[in-house]
Amino acid sequence: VKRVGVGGGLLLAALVAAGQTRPERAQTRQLPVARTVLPDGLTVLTLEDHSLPSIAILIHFKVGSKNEVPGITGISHLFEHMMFNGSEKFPPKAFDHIIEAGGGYSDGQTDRDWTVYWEEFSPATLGKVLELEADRMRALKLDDQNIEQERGIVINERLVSYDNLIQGTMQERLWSEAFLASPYRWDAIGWIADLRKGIHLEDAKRYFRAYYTPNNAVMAIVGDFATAPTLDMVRALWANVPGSEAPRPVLDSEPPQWGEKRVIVEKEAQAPLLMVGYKTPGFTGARAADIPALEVLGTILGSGRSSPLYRRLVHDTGLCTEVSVDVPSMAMTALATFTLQLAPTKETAKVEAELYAILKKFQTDGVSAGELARAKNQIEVQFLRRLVGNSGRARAIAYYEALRGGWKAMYEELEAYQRTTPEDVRRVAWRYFVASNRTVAVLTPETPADAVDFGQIDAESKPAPQ
Amino acid sequence: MKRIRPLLAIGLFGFAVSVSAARLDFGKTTHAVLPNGLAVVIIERHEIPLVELLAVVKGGSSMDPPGKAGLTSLTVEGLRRGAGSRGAMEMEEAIDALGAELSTQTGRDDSRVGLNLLSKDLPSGLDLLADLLQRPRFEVSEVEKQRSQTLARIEEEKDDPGSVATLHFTSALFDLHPYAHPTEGTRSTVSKLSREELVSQHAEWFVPENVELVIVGDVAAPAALAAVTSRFGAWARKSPPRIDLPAPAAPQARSVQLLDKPDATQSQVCIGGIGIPRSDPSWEALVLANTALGGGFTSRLEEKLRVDMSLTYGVGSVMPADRQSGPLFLQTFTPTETTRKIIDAAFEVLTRFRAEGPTAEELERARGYRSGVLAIRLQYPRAVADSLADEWVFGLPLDSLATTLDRYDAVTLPQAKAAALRYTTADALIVVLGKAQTVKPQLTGLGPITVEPYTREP
Repeated sequence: VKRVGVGGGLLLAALVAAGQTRPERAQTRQLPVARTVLPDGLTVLTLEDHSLPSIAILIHFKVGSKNEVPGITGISHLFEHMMFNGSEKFPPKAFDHIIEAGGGYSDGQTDRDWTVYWEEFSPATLGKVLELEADRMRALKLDDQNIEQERGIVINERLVSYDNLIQGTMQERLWSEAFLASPYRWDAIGWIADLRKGIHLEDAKRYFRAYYTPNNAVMAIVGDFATAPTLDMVRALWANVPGSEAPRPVLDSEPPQWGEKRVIVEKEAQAPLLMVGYKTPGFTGARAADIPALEVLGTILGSGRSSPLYRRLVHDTGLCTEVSVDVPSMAMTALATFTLQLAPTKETAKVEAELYAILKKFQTDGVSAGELARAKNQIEVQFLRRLVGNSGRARAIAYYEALRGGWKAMYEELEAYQRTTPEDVRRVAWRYFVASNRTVAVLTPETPADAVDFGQIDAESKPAPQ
Repeated sequence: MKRIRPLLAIGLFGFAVSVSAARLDFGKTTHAVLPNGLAVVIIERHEIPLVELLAVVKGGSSMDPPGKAGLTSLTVEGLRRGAGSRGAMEMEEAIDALGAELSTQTGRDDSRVGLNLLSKDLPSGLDLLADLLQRPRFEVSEVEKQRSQTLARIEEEKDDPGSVATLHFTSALFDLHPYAHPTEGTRSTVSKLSREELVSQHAEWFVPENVELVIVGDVAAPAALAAVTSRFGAWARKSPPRIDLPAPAAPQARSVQLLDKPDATQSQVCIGGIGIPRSDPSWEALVLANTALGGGFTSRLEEKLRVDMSLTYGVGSVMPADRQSGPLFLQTFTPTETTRKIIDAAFEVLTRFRAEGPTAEELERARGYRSGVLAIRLQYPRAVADSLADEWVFGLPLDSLATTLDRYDAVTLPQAKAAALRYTTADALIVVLGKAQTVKPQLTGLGPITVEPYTREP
C-alpha cells in the first residue's frame, strides 16, 4: 500500500496491478472525516461539506436479522418502524413532524447484518434532530398499542414486496433453501407467522436493551454544520444514554453444503425466472481475502451490456430480458446470486446450461486484460458514485467504521479490487462456482387458471379450498 | 410561459454565452446556444471526479403517431444499439470500458439520454454521445432484437401490479388524448413498428434546435463547451417539428375500473383526475398543497390511511410535471378485504381537503419540507441535470430552478386553498387492481363499474 501525503490530506494512489492496461488511474482523495468516541461507547464520525444547506445524520446499529432467533424473525425490521413512533420526551409522530417541517425526511433500512436510520434536513434543525436521536436511543416508546399498529403495517409490506412480488418470493426461497443453520436463511422481513403472533412486547423490550445502545452504534454527521459545537451538543445529549454489555457475537454456523440444492416455486407470473446462488465467504471468515476477486469476477460476468452474461443471454440469444449478478459483502458465509429473468416462452433448463457454460469458460480460459481493466473501472466509478451526496457518504463511512474495522477500510477495499490479478479471478471461479456449492431456484409460471387457492399466506383466515 | 434566452453575447466561441450566479448554489452555471440551435448548459461541481451528461430531446410518447404507440421509446432506446463507426456490442464495450453508465428514457413530453463517467473521460463520453444522437444505425437485426425484448418486457411488467394500475389509470384518464399512450407501446403496436419508422422518427425529432445538452460535474465550462462544439457544431441545422398538443379533457362523472387479478391478496388503488401544466403560474401553490395532502410522512393521507387506520404502508399524491395538464392522483394499496375501507377513507380526506384547503401550519410545514428537499436533491448531479432539462422542455425562465425557493416563499394561504380545489372527488376516476370476486361487491355505490382482466392491453 502506497500512501502519499499531499497538502495536509492523504492521497491514495491505487497500486498498478501487473498486466493492467490502463496505468493512470484517477487518484482517490480520502474524505476529511473526524472520529470521536464518547464515554458511553458511541462512535461519532463528522464530515463537513458546506456546498448546499443540508445535513445528513445516519446511525448504524450493529444488529440485523442475523441476530434474531426463530419465533421472533423480522423483529429488527419491525424496529425500523417503531423507531418513528415516539420516545420518552417526544410523542408519536413528533419525529416526522419535526424533520419534515425542518426540510427533510427520515428513513431506515434493515439488512441481515445491520440496521441504519438516517435523516436529511436543513441546518437550522440540527439541534432538534440530535435531541430526537438521543432520546429514542435512551428511551424509545415501546408498548402494546405501538407494536400492534406497526405489526399490521409490516405484514402489509411483506405481502406487497415478498408474497405478491415474484422477485421477493424467489429471493427469500433461494436463501432459505441455500442455508441450513445460518441465521441468514430468513430474510430481514421475517416469517409471516412470527410477524403475526411470534413477536411480543417483552421480546421487543429485550431486543432494544441488547442492541440499540451507544456502544453498538456508529453515528455519522455529514454536511453543512460546524464540527466543534456539534460534538459539544452530542456529548451533552448522550451523557445519560446508558450503554450495555457487548452483544453476544453471532456464529457462522453454516456447515459445508455437500451437493447442489434446488427449489421450485410455482406461482402466477408472465415469464420464468431463474436464480442461481453460490456460497461465498464472509468478511469475518478465514477466506475473507477471496471476496475482492469474487466481486471483480461478478463485475466481469454481469456488469454492463458488454458483459458475457448480457451479451450471450440477452443480446445474442434473446433467452433473457434482464440478467444481474450480486456478490454480497457480508459478515458470514453468504450467497453470490445470478438473477436471470427469462423471456416469456423460454426454458429455464436451456438458460441454466448457458450460464454454466459461461462459468466453465472462465474457469478454463481465465479473464482477459481488457475484461479485468473494464471491471476495475466499473468498480471505481461505482465507488465514487456512492460518495455523491451527504447521505451516501454517511452510509459508507458508518458501515466501514461499524463492521469493517474503520471508515478508512473503504479505501483499502478499493485498493484490493485494483490489486486483483487474472490468476486471483480464475482461482475463485474454480473454488466457488462449482455444482456442489450451488443452490438453484426456479420459478415455473402458472396461468391464473392453474392457480389453486391454497397454501396462501392468509390461508388461516379463509375457508379451505374447494 | 415563453422561455427567454438572454443573449448577453460574450463572443467566446462566436455565439451567445451567459454566466449567472445561481441563488440556490448548485454550482456555477453557464448557458450557451450553438449556431445550429443546440442548447448547452454546464454546471461546475468539483466535489467528486465524476461528470453527468444529459441530452434531452423535446419529443416523448405523446408525439407517437396514432396507432404507433412506443415508436419514440423504441427509437430512443435504439440509439445505443450501434452508432457511427460502432456496432451495438462495440458501443457497449466502449461504454463499459470507461466504467460509464448510459441510460435512456422516454416520458410523455421528452426523451433523455444520460451518461455518467469519470470527469477525466469527458472527451470520450462526448464522442459516444455525439454518435448516439447524430449517427445511430438502427440496423435491422438490432431493431428485431429490441422488438422482441420490448415485447417480453411488456409482458413481464404485468408482474408488477403497482405499475399496471398506474399505467391503466393514465390511459383510461386521458382516453383519446396523446398522454394516454403507454410509453413502451403495446404488443400490437410494437409488433408492427418498422426500421424505417425509427429512422424517420429520429430524423424528424433529433435536430439540434430540439435538443439540449446538460453537463454537470467536475469540469471547467470553457473547455467543456469547446469539447461540445467540436463534436456537435457540425450537426446540420433543420427546423424542429411543431408540437401541437391539445389540453386534455377532464372526466365528467365518477367511474370505477376494476382490473381482475384472481390471485391477488392486495388491491392497488389509484384515484384522481387531471392536474395543471408544469408552466402554470399556480404550480408551486399546488406543489405545497399536494405536499400537505399526500407528500412525505406527515401528510393528511399518510396520517389517516397509514398511521391512524393502518390500512397501508404507502400512500402518496402524485403530480408529475408535464407540458400540458398531466394526471393528479393518489396511489395506495391495501389487503383485499379493506379495499372499500381505504377508498372511503381517501375520499373523506380529499373532500375535507377540498373544502378547507391546507391550514396555515400545514402550509408552513410544506414550505419548509419542499425547500429542504430541494437542497437534498440538488446534491445529485443527475437531479440537477434533470431539473435544468425540465426548465428547457417546459419553457420556464432560465433561472427557474435557482429561484424555486422564492416562489415557494411567495405562495399565500388563499393560493394554496385555491389549489386544493384541483382535487376532484365528484368526477374522480377510480382504478382498482385486485381480486374482483372479493373486491367487486365492496365497490357498489361509488359509480358505474367496469371489470376487465388485468392483462388487457391498454
